[in-house]
Amino acid sequence: MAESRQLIDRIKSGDHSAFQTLIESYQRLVSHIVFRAILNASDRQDICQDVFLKVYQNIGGFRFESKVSTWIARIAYNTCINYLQKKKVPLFDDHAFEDETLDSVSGQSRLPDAIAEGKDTASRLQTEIEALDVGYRTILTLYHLDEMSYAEIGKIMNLPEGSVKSYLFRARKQLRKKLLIQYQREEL
Amino acid sequence: MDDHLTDEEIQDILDGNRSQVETSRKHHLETCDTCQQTLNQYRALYAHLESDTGFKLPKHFAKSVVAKLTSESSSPFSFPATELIIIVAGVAIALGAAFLFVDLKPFFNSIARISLPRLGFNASFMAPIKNMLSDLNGSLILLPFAGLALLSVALFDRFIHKIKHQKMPL
Repeated sequence: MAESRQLIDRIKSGDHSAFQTLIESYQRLVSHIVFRAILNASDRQDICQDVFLKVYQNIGGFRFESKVSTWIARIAYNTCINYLQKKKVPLFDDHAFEDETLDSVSGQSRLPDAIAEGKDTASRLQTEIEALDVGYRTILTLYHLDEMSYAEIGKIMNLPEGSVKSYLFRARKQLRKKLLIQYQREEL
Repeated sequence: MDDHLTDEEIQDILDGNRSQVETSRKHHLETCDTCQQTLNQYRALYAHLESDTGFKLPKHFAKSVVAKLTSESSSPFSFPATELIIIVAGVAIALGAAFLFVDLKPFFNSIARISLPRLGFNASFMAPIKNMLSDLNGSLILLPFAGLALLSVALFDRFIHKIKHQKMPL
């Protein structure tokens, strides 16, 4: 925390090398959020860049009331949301969760351990993640890739902790179901 | 053995929230093949979700952001130069138009008559000022054109800057 404070103070005094250090420390976090939220690959780098420019422009107002990572992640998330809102993309659209069930195809217990054994699971999973709404994608990313708590994710996305947990569970359940349905269809 | 664990219970276990799952349910999980299979599927799903591939920014990303920053302004609190030029141009145009279209001689005469004696300036001091203001009036036709030229340069500069930085090489 003391190191972060020193770094931020140096940036506030106009030290660009300190800002470069800050970018190097948090670009992984920002890329996780932006790359998962923005599906158009050609816009991603520009948005990451915008995020850090906003960080720099607003760093004078940062008062260490939250962790630096939470603050930067919040800027990244809001930047993505602004971008997506211009394109009228829904954040949490429950209609995206179709009523398709495994049981309607065949008995779940007879399925092989498809997810674990499947060769193309990573690419299939990527496709299914991209089919989720941006809110779900962001929660999955912050929880699994950045190991953030429900409380931190709630602060970043301006959601109650309970909602974060509920959305996270729903997203994972949906992903598992979608993957199994894919494997099941291939078997039939 | 039909009372299988729900998806939420299995996810709670994998998330480390074991205390939220009753002991009897944990015992069921240990002995039920269906629940074990679901647990394994979720484990595999978690492993894939934790994979950090496909998120790489270019090697010199940080440097390029700092370079962009340096090109735009040297301090986070500096006043943008383009905006300053536009404001100056706007003021110049307004003043030029005022001088060109409005006869300001009575106005300046009143100001001079009211204000200057109060400030301790006598008539001999005021006379050249009055003359200068009178001379200026109506002869500043070039000022609005100069302002317009300045404004055009500022807008052109902004346009070029936007194009140049729209797709910054990273």
